[in-house]
Amino acid sequence: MANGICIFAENYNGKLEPASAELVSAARLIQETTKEQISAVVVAKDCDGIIEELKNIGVEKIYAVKTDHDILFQDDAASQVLADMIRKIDPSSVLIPATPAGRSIFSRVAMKLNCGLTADCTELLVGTKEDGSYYIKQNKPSYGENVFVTIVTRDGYYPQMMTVRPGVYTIPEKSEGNAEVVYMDDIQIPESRIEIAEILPQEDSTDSILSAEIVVVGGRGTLEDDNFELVKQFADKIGAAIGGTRPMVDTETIPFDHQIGQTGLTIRPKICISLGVSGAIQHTEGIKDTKLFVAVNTDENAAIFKVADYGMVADLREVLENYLKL
Amino acid sequence: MDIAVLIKQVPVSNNVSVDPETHALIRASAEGMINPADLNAIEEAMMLKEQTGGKVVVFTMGPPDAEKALREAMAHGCDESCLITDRVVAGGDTIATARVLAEAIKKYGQFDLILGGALSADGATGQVGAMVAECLGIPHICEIQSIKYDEAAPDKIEAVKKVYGERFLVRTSLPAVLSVNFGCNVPRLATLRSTRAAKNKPLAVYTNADLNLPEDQVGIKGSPTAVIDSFEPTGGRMAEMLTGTPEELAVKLKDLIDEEKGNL
Amino acid sequence: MEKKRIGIIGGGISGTCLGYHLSLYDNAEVIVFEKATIGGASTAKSAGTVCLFDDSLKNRYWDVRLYGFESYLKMEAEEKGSAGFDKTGTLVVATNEQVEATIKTGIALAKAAGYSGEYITDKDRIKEILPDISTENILGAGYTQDDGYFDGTMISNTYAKKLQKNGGVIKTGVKVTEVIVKDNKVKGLKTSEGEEYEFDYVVDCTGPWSKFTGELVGLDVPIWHTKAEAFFLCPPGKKLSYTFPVLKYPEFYALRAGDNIFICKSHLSMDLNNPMHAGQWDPDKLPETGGTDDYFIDFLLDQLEVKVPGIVDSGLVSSWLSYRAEPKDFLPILGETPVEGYILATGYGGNGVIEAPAASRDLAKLIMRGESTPLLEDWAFKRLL
Repeated sequence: MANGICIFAENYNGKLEPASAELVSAARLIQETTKEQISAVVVAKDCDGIIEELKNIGVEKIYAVKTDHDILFQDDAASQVLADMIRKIDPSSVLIPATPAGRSIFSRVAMKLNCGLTADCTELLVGTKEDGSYYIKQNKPSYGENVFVTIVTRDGYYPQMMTVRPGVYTIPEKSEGNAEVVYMDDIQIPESRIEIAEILPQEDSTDSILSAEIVVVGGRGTLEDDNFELVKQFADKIGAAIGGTRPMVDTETIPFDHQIGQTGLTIRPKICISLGVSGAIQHTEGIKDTKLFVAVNTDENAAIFKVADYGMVADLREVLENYLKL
Repeated sequence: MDIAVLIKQVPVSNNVSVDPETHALIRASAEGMINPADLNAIEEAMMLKEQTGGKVVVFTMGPPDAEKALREAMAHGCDESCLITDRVVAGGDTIATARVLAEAIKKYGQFDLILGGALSADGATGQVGAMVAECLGIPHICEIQSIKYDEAAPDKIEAVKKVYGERFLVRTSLPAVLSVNFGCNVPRLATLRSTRAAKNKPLAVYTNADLNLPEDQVGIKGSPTAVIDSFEPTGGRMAEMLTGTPEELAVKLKDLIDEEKGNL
Repeated sequence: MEKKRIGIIGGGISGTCLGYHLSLYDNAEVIVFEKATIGGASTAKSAGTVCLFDDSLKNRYWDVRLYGFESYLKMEAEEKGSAGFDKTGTLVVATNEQVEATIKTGIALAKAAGYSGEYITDKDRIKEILPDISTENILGAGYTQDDGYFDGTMISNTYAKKLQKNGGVIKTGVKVTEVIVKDNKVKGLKTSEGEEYEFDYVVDCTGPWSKFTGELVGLDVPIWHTKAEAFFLCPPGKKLSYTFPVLKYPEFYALRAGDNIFICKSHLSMDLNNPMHAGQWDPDKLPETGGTDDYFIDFLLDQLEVKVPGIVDSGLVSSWLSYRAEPKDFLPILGETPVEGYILATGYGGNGVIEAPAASRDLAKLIMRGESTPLLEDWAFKRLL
């Protein structure tokens, strides 16, 4: 009988990824009801430091496979190793960080185990079946963040496997841990057809508004006085590209290829700070799928407050001047 | 080089709500479009085609109406297309969907490279590409920023992968699946002429009868996971209003940005 | 002076412009109810070409055109950008003698009002203004440098602000669910927020929604929808080396939108009997972008190949579909209805941005002073009964 909550300990350069550490908190909430053991799977070249980290945040059992080089970039090999480990451990659920590595490796693991994989959960709840056994309700956003759905792993498929959005759960407080460590030396590490040729130098991405993860969008309000100078300094400080609405393009404050909205571009930054933008549809249609969207506008009725996550009715000049002092 | 591109038709607007009684999704508009990151995948395919020759075939699974997305993809330059449409395969989760796409690719022909967009704008699972690769038993690499093909090493492909805040040059044998990031290139636009020409480009329609997959492997029946409920987020769609002096607001803004930056 | 309480349904160009003109009267108490955002629906999709002469509005209504144009010039002069003016000038192409005559009259009117305008038959000069044009099979073109594009959404928001400054109230995100009528007289309305308001007048400024709004008082407002299908084109070289003017042909019109070109099938080329062109639909189901019909691609390709071949290989950036709402004679419906106190300011079709200022000026006078005007007589509801 499958039992236990198992966490994928994603690691990079010998360190546990914070998104994996957060999963322990999610697992503990499940454990409160199911009383199952919380374990973790580690595949790494330098396991020791990662195992120490896992012990100190309350993982109760650690399964490790030591490799001669880090293989988490090699999905084909990594997924084979992890699928073999999970088959042996036989947990009832596997929690994976919803990161690029977590997604792509465990998509393959799920296919190998024919067990399903729920993506990007923001809440995990425990439900009870008619026979008294437990299952996990996997809640996740869909259609941007407009709707949430509850997904379950159907009877007959196991383990229940899901990726959890980073930042939803917090990393547990550190404490002296005492976990059992099992090295699964009998697991074969297959050859990968993928190789990492080199690490490339960083590039300056703020020139391209399309690929920028952080974008500051200016509206008509930024054209007054020398507000735009402040916007530029603010954007520099937070490492953002600058986009704008039509008035900013018309006044040649920003180039046309940085105009956002229906006549311009649709951008999908992770963070969007909108300053002095009122929010006509031509503009708000141009910003989608943000993780954080803050709007600053002096008009409390501005339409932008209907699409933003956070709003501030304030003079952007005063807010930015203070921000630049921080 | 022959390239398959996997695309998904997504709603133009993510503006959906939930019926309070039936919990069914109510869409404001049925209008569909090609998932934005998939357009970047098509553009990568077009650039490789210009370099190496060969053909680009675009695949999608969906209702008959998804033909629109395929015609649009062909207006962007793809040569041929394949629509998998069948009630039996509809409603599947990522596992069941990937099986169908992989089978359709196999049936259509031999491909050197399979491309897809990294995340869809609606479901945003980012899983199907890797699952297709698993079904086909070939490598998959995600978070791709650019792709480079060298004629001197025709059985391999190089790509730049962006992850952990760094850029890595990665190499894999072919065939392989690559998941292309949104915004990594500027997709060429369709023109009036190319849109008209796309109406006459080949479009193959497969049903499950063509693919011969067991019914318990596809669609809702073949999905290990099931959606059992849907609900609207609490608090409505209005922004949470933050108040305070400009000094306080600046601090709040910084906290929000710093916290989210930690998750990038 | 006795207060008059007026509730306006709809916060597009019609509602905000009327609200502003009403707020100029000291004894008007105005509330505008907008279910979404100000100037965000059909107004936002309006092409906003406010031209001194073209075929959009007959020369007979020159006063309406001039008043609209000058209202926006004034707005723009008060605060730059508040009317979103893009002064590109307009080139109206004469493909037959009838159009040529209309253009020539329009130019004469514009010149009499102190604006520039000329009718050009020298084809090299036409090509200087618009290098991508084909001058074959045209008689000539009217040209002025003085007009161009105005942004309907900006204008609506500016009117909304001015009206608030004058003491009026704007309620966004509030839908009117019921109009209270007693003894065939308007008493007030109820909203989606569950509030009830008392009014002496309720004005329908809901354009494409008027069919549904009229039902609230049992009125059959004879509004049809014609499709305004528009594309944004990216010129082949990404950026034009010249100022693309507002370009008008009998079949379509075009204007610049940043470095792109906005192009739309013309209003008068719509056939009310063709279900592809016209019908009575639900504007709530209109997608924000996309939704154009396939025939439109063929139509545009055929038109551009012959008329503006230089941009025929432009990229398709985006498209949208909007509904122009109007009665079968293509003129607005203004003023009183069989229900006392229920007023219409709707049916502007594709001309809301041009016509709203003059129509609102006159309608405000009717509501506040009880004085009608020749324009209101012409565009009265009773002409359709």
